[in-house]
Amino acid sequence: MPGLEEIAARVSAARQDTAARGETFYPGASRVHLAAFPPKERWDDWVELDARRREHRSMLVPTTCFNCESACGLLAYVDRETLTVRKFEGNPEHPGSRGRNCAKGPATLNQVTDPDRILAPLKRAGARGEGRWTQVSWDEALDDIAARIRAAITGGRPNEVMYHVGRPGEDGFTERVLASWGVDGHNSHTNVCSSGARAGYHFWTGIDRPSPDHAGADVILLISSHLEAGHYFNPHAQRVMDAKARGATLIVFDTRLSNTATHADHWIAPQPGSEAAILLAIARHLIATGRHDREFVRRWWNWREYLAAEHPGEEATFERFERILGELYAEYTFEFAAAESGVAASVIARIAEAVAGAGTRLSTHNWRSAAAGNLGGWQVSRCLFLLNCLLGAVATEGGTHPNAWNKFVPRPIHMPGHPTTWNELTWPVEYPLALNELSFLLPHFLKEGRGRLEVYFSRVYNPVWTNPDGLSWVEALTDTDLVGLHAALTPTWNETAYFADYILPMGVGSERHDVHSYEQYDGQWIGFRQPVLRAARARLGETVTDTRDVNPGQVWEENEFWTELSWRIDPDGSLGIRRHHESAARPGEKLTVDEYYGHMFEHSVPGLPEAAAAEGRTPLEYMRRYGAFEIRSGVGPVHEEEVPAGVLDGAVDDAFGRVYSPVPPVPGPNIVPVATPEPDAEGRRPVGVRVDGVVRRGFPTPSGRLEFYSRTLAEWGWPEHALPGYIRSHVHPSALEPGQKVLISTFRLPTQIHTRGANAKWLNELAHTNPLWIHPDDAAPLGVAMGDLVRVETEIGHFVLKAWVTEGIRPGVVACSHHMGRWKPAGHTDGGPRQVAATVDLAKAGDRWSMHRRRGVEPYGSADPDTRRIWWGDVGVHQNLTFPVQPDPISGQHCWHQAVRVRPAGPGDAYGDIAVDTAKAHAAYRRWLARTRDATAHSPDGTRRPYWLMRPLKPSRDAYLLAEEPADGPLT
Amino acid sequence: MALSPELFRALGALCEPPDPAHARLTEALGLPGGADAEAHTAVFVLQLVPYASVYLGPDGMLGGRAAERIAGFWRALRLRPPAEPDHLAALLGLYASLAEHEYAEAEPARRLMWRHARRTLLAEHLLTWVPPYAQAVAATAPGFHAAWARLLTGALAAEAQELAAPPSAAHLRDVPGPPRPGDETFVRALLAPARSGLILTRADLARGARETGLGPRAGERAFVLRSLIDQDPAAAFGWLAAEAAGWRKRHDSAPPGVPAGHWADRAESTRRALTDLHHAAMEMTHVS
Repeated sequence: MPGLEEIAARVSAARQDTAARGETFYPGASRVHLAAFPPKERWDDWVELDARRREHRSMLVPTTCFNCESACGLLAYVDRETLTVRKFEGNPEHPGSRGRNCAKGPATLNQVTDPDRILAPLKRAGARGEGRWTQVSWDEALDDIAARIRAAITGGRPNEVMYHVGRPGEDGFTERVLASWGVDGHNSHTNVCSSGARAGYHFWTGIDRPSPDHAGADVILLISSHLEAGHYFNPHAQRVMDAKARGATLIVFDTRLSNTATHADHWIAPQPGSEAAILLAIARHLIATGRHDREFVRRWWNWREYLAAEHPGEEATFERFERILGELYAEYTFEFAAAESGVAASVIARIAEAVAGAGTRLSTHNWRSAAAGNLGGWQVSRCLFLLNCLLGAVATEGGTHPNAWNKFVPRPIHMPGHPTTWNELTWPVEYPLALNELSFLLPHFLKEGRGRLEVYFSRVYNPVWTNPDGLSWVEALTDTDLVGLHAALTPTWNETAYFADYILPMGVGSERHDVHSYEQYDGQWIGFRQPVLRAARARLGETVTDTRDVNPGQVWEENEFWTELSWRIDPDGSLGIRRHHESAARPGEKLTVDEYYGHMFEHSVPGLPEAAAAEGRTPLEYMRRYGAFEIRSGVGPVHEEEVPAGVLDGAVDDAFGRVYSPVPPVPGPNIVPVATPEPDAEGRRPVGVRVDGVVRRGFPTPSGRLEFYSRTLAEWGWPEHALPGYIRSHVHPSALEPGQKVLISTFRLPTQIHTRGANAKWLNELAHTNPLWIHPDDAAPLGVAMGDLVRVETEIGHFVLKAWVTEGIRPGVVACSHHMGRWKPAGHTDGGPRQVAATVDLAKAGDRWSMHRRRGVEPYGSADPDTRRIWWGDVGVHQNLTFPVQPDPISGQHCWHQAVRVRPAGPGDAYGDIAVDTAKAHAAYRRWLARTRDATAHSPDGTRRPYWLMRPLKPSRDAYLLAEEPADGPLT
Repeated sequence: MALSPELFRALGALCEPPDPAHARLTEALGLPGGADAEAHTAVFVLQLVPYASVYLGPDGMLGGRAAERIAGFWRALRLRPPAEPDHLAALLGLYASLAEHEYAEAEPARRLMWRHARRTLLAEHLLTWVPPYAQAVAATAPGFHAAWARLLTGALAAEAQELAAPPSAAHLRDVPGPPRPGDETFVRALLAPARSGLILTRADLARGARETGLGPRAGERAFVLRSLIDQDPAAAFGWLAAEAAGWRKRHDSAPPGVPAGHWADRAESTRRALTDLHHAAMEMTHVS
């Protein structure tokens, strides 16, 4: 009998041998490991019995979900006999989602088999928006589009090419395509989504996203409905619940009784827009009771810079700053916050105590919600992060990290340079501090004659439906003088695609390549999305070089599409575009996706080649097999890292300890976007910040520290908002007219996916309507009962929907989810998602538009027998059409909350009715535009925008210079 | 020399339902044969469920204060308690994980913290019940599981010596007193291992019926035991007293490092009480 030590050593050796073969040593389902999944070694031939005990043999192929930004891992079960996908489940190898999915992941199968999906390129047959289409070849579409783009570029009109994206679902691929064309044509949806919150974080850290370590927190403070529909919903929600299960306290600010609120230890329903006032009252409590982390504040805040700027001539000691800090927030008492928010002072005090007790284990998160709803919403995230900064809960275990430290963007094979042009249609001079494109103002800019578009791509984006003021979009998109060609890259029909010239079908999450990385815990990982049938055929020994060969119909993927289009724009390479899309191994040939990702995984992902080699695979084979790779975990406080001595040769300090070095940077493999603080006057680059005599890496801000005081805001025309503060919302009670209520429209339905769900039948059966939440105290005076029709009147029109009378909403506030209300114009003979879109009559008289619902959805015959089993008819109401644009003058974020009047529906009102006056919409745009302080008047250095701020597709430095203002006419 | 943490994780995995991957574990551990589904069910589902709360709780039942105390231990480590925090596989997996953290930790103070956590888990939540539990398995089950149980006991004993596990444990300090004749809950207390010092399985009761010539009735264990006592108190108590004596001996022979004082004391108290009851019943029989 061998001894225990020998046995134990034998087990260890057996496990190592097994793991080295890429196999699973411990079986599932097991309490010993999270392993309730098919073992990896059986992924080539996994056997399951169905309900009738029939055997099914599958290949399990990983990919990542594309139904929200979380990019959770999926495992496609590819039937070995039919080579079709049977189902999608979670990928246990994915570090972010850890094998778990929400309802949207498995519903990818519905999108694959959607009987209404677009299977071939289509070209409009009549007038734009008429709804008649003819099938065309990819070659015809590509040649037409490429010729127009080439003409725009060679004709000196590069700004007439624009790509408008919703969910990127990838990390910079398409931005680099646009850079290779030399156009400043990137346009995102972010200013209708998260740019408000991003601004708040960015002004603090130089990084525009938070990465809360919920799993390690003792107190979690969410200003969102994060557990049901937040950003990185599933990966974050599972970690929030992990923390709760071991005793962490969850605090939720949500005016609505969301599913998240039901899980909270402390739930408050504040007056919309008052969130920052509450946060400042908590901050005041921390300061007044001495619960803040003095050492952290002393070491890492830019308080010296603040004192020098705002209190010159006074003693520049930390003790002096602390006294001033107390005075700055003295007015934010619990009673003040209570008066603003309607939440009892005693409740706020209890929450403040809970926060104070968290120490460095306070994780906080705000992404949309209040930051996306209110004028000055960006101060909500800035005030929220103030709590972390006061407690030193920054990049700690259980604290909130800057996202760039928990994200890895591998350097690709080609890195085109910065465009040399500046596009005023997306980055107008009125918004020099906006972090993202003023995308939702585009129709107004076009109507004002600020420019035109020769080629406009909408890609996984539906501005007509998603943006406010969608009928102004319809007006712009149907004007062929304003938009020369509109190509909609989309897997499914949508309200914007109806107004396109080409509809180019792109694959869903299991039919395309992408690589991406998101901040979901204190670690870095990459996920690999891939066409699962292509990977399955490769396992069987086939070689697939064109994803169209395995996708349904002629559905393509974007990687190959953009490469092909770029070659057709520059067929002989004379424009310098083609070289960015050529093979490095075979010069003169097109770059393939295998070479693109193979090079990236081989050269830019630390540890991956070694992990792959241990299993006898190439890095690409490893990623095709497992779909994800964790590069690092437990990254921790990067700002505390000491700068290597070699970097400090010849370095100098400025007056506040920012350290600049003449040593050039060494390009690393991780190209995650962060801000780029300016060099000093001698051109030395900022490399760190001196803290108590040691040069540490710090933050990518001008000061290198956490910027409590933003010199940028002060110098660019907004000195009154240079500190974390409270800006009264446009829907503050004092701004409302008698009888007006606040409408909250920013919340999602947990099982829907904006418009990408389309005919995801399982999801549509779960959620298919969006009634108006109204409190009984508000409903009773109106004589409105549950289910009654009500008319909601906005500044530019109205919509009619059903009332849902509930105590789950604050009195004086009503709410309606933006996740429903899909439609298709009557008379459109082709297309449309028939499981989720109402058929409507859309009419225009002058500037007045009306929409009347002709019918809801109903059963229909198709290849899918379930379409005959549709039992719901209601698909909700499209409220966003009736909202004017309301851009925050600093962040550029659309302020979604609306001041509305709610009335019982009149005799002429019908469910789903919409009325909009686009002249009023334009007037509202002009009124909000007047709030701005533009760069021509406020730039301190003759540039359009602070160069250090993050910006998608950042142009070259020269492009930042303000143009000479013309004597008349629009700015260019 | 410390044992590899893998040993404990592997031993834990083997009280999970059989899986083809168990063959590798069995071979590495050098166990005879393998566990089929029937044997697994017999040992871990019908006779000796591997949950700490059954052997440490005041009622000998799943869940309750003992399970919650163990869940609290997970939470104290900032871990989310699994659905069954007191399952032997979960505890052994946790033990292995703590050992791995300890061995991987370079910073001495943190390494000491990991070691302290592992020592606490061993002393509080493993050594308090696994040695008698494993003895019961070894006595009841056929070759594979008996060998597994002996290996488990040996491994834990080695760890106990390595870590110098303290003898006192909160679980056992809070256990109500031994079964007292005349109490309404006497039979229940006999079947609560931490109170009586005995582990009586369904198979044990069937054996008792055979050995005493009494008729076993179908039902849960308390019902079966009551029916045996009702049929012939002298025979039933006599058999139970002998069982208690046997358990006393087993506890006394616990390997070095395994604190068995509580269990031996309880088995002895129970033996005495049962012996008294046996004598009283015999007198009643002679009188009648």
